[in-house]
Amino acid sequence: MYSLEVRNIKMKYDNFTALSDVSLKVKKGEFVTLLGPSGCGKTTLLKIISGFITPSNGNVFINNEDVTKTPPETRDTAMCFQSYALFPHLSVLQNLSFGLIQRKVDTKKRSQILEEVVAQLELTTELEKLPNQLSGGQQQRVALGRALVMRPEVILFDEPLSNLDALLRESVRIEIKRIVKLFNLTAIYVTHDQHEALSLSDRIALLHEGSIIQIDDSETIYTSPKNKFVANFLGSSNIISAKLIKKGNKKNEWIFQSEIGKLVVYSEEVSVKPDVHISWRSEKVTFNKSSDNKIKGKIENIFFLGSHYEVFVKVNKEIVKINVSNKHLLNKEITFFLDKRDLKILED
Amino acid sequence: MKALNYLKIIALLLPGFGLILFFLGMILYVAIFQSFGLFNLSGEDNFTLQYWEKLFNRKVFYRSVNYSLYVGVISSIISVALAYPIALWLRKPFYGSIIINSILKAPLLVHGLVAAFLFVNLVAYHGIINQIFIFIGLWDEPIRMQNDKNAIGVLILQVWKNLPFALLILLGSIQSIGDDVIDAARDLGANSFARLKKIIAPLTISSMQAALIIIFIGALADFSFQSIAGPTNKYSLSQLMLYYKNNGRWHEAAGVGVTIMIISFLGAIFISYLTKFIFFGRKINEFK
Repeated sequence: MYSLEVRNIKMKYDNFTALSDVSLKVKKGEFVTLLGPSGCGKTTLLKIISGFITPSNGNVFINNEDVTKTPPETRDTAMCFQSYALFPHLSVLQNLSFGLIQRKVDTKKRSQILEEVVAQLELTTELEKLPNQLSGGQQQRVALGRALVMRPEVILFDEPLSNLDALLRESVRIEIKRIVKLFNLTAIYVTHDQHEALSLSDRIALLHEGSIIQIDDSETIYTSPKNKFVANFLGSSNIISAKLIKKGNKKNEWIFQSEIGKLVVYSEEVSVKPDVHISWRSEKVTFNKSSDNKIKGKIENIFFLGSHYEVFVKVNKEIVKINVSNKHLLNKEITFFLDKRDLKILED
Repeated sequence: MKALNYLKIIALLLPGFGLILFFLGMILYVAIFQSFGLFNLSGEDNFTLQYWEKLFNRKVFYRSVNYSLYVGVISSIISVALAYPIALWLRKPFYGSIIINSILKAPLLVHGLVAAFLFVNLVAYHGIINQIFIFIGLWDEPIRMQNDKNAIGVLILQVWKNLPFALLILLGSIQSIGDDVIDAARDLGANSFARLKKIIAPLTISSMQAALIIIFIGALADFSFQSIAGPTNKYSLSQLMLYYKNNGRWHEAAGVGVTIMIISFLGAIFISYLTKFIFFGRKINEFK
């Protein structure tokens, strides 16, 4: 049984299609992130799940119950807004209690729930304060607490960290993950930040132009992008066009001719198209001579990024990007290696 | 240097603020002093409480106070209550909303006397409403609606005239509430009424108070609507003041004037506290 199921959702605004045939199933306690660039339809999908938008077509099920036409006020979801949306005239305690009072939860149970959430979010000393007396991180915690006290079947996050500074973002991110796991909540999280998505999610649904392009766990979606868009959007990828020469001698080995030379690629596909795109992550280069693919090029640009150097290397006519942590390797020319398992054949 | 700066500020404020203060002060001074027998226009000045005593011993004075309070309270509440849903409806622009908004504000441009005259034309014994209803067969004979004893006509006119004003004040305030805040309330289970009562009204309370107070004061001291469309057996405070003045009883007229000012002042304070109590009165004491 799924906590949330989105079935064949379509959303059209006059001539513009915001979502086209989107389906998604989320298990109880799963953390799914809707990731994508601005305008890809991720917030529209979140608003459909929360009930603020009724889809043109398709259905939303929560705990197997069709809630497509159920208004947000009676739907078993709770949303954490990008702007926090705290009620500015109410104290922290009143903000936290608001939903419970609306749902007519009796005073004893209300106190019990509030006490637990307040303690977990470390808001005990802030209860009498108004939202404008809190820091950004505290406001975020109140917004999270306000949603948590509702004990919703599905908790929804609409880019909740986008208004926080980098340092605070990291601590609130850890907090969100901890709380969601602690209360075993089913969470749908919208973001355009790949780091947030990768670090928080059990699964990531990557949206592009109103469709889910790929949905997989963080590691799979990162290491095995399905197509050029996914490879480009998530992490730093090199994508090169290549032609199939032949099947390799070893099992699942394919040999390609590309602009950076011959490449040996490992793929479990039964058949491979003659013209493909091959991608590899810039951090996947090694300087271990036993690797399958040896590539030599001229260094064009070097950028120091703290933990490593981002190096642009000209290989034949192609510029590729690699991450190098050892400064001594950075001469005029560089030779690096790619493991055949780190090269991915992209669809389309 | 500091003193010079203060002088500069005072000099800059004087043409506006000074003028207001001067005339307000003068009116208050003259009205209050006159009500105590001073500032006598037809004789010697004598400090006395007799004019206030006369006022307090007359039933007509209390009836006027009650009637003016009735008109002031009812018209301010209805105007603001009706303005809220309209302001919420017009909160987000939609096709035709600018035209609707402009039409709704049109009564602000019509003078009260003109509006009352038009209203009388509608509700008169041989007025348009009676003629239409007789024509379509709903009524057999004309109904007397003009100068009704419950002042429904006055209330309609007051609301018609003041609703656009309340709308003008409330609309900007409601538009400044973020969509997310209202959506959050909805997401937490608040229905339309709860959203209005617990979120929208408290967040627009300053505008609500301003609208209520200004409409209340205006309606309390109404003269034109009452004179033309009001009940003939009751005097509003303004009418009573004019009656005394026309009879040369300036001191009693001043007493009524002071009464209007006192009721306006107390009414404004009462409205401020009452609205605050209604929307912020209850505290949640989960951990106390």
